[in-house]
Amino acid sequence: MNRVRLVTRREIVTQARSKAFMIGTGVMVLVAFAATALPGLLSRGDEDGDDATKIAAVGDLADQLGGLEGFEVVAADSRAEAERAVRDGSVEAAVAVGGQGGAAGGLEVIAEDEAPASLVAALTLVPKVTLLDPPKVNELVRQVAPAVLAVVFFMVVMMYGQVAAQNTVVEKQTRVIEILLATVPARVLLAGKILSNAVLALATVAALLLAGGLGLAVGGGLKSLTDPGSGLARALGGVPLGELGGSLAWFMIFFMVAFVLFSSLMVGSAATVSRLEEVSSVLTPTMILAMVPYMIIMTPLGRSQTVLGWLSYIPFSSPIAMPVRLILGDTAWWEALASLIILVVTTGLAIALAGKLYENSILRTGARVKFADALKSAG
Amino acid sequence: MLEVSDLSRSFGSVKALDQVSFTVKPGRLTGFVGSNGAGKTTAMRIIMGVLSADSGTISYQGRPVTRRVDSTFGYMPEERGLYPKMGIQEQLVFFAELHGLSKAQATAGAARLLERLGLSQRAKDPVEKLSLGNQQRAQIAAALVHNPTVLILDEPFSGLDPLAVDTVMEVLKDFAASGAPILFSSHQLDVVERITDDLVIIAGGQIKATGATAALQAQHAGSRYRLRLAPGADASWATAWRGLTEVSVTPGGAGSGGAASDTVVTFGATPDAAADVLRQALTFGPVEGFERDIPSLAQVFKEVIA
Repeated sequence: MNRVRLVTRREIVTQARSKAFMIGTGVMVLVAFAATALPGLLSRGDEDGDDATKIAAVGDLADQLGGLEGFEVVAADSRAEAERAVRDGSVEAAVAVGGQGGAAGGLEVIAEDEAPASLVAALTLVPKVTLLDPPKVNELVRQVAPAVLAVVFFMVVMMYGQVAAQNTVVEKQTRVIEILLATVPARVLLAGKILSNAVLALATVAALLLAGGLGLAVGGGLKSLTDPGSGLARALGGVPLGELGGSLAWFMIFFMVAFVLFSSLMVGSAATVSRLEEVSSVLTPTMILAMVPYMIIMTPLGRSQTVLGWLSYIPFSSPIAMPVRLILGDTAWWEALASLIILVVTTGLAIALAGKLYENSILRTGARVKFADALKSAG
Repeated sequence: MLEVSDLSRSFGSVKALDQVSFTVKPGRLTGFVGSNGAGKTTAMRIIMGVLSADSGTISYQGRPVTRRVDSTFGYMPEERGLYPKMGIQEQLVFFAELHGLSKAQATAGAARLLERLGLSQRAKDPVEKLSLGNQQRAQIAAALVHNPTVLILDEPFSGLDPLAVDTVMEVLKDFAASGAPILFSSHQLDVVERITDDLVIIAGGQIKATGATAALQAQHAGSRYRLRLAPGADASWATAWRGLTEVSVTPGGAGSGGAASDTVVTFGATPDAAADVLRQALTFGPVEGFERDIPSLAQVFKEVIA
């Protein structure tokens, strides 16, 4: 166990020293921060300027509109005076009663080239809506959640799987592998490699979440997320955040198991080649296993309940599909558990397979070792 | 003592090792010689547990060495390799710890070895920045850093300049003096001749000869003798002496720079006839040297594998 720890530590330290890796991760974290902070910062800039829209009201209206939230009302004696105020820019718009051709008692908004939408909205009557069977989750969440989960999962698995695969080939190419194998069993090396990458991946996801959270806080998005009247909260369609958190916790569990599944397959495949140039071609089968479910979930096909249902039990797609179903709220906890068990069993098989590929190929340099040969030969 | 018994291993239809048996005695430098493809590397890999044998056993001090029960062996593989971007010292410490040493022991061991091999100045440099000779030294350090109980070195001298060969030889001799069995392969038979105590000769996957180097040389010495006389001595009488075969006389003389070389007579004879020659030579004048002609290791090797 101690030796697994040594191998794991060496891999992490080496990775942390790689400039390309640190820059790549840094950029990802910055993007996560920017993507969450900027919209908040920018829109707040707007709000500050528009804090109270200055409008003119003709005659008695000034009193009636005086209490209108978000507007500063200036009284105007006549429609002509109000128009003048609009033209010289001292107010953004004016409100008058009636007007030519208007309905009796109706209001008229006078503006220069565009009426402030907020004013029109404030003066418009909106009927009360009652839904007898409201959807549990708002349509926006329905579309965004699968995409976000799929992208995070796919990016992290691909990035770290490839790193692990490359490090495997580097050890083979530089021949340091022979000393390593003379010192520790192959499975210790394999375990260290997968573990170190899982740690790095988890750290990256944590950094991304932290950056995203920080971005929300800085941009004021966090306030809007918790403020029931805000746009974001409305977009979430009243999903209790706690429930979303529960689904995200499921996602993290699925993610970690699936990460081990994919990285073992990638390291095992990588062990069969001897040159870095060959890594991408040997990873193709695993890549397809990861990519196909990703594509399906990203396309309209992924919105079909039936398709999503199937995908949530297939081990290569369940890490995305099952958490998505949980977020959408049409899944029982035991379904998630069943899917997780299938995933864990598959991962166990994948580790055994990777171990065999690794042990039987890692010392064979030169031409790529065929998967079939690697699986049947010993030593 | 490291004992290799009846080791066999085939790759497809090629029999790389065929019932290979030999021993490596503690405190002795054992040279493992053979042509390319004779099976040296395969045997060493099997001893290290990097490769498995089809049959046969390896035991150390009477206990079988199962696959990686004993990670106390030190190994320098034929195909060199260290982590190219990792500092040498850091790398040595990593390998030592992987062999089960504590951090403190590992650090001290690495520093001592680097000093010994003249790499202290480069301790922090990544391996890829070193010259080939220094990379080789680092590789030897990696085999020695955990104070191995047994040392297996595949071609440790290839790629070293003569000075580095001497340094490495000293390190190995010191290490042998500590009582560990050392097995090393080499193509450089002149180097092997200078330092080996014992020899294992392999050809075509089969052991052709084993034993103390000196004994093997004596065994192949045959009946040739070498007589050295003073530089100006007349040795023409020897060519006419009865009972000698293949007599050759190399007249000595004043060499360049004032150093004079001896007159040397070599001949084949029975021990009795050789003794007569020596007595005769003494009647003519002083004898600088008289010895049975010991064949070089290269000659022994050629005879053994012929």
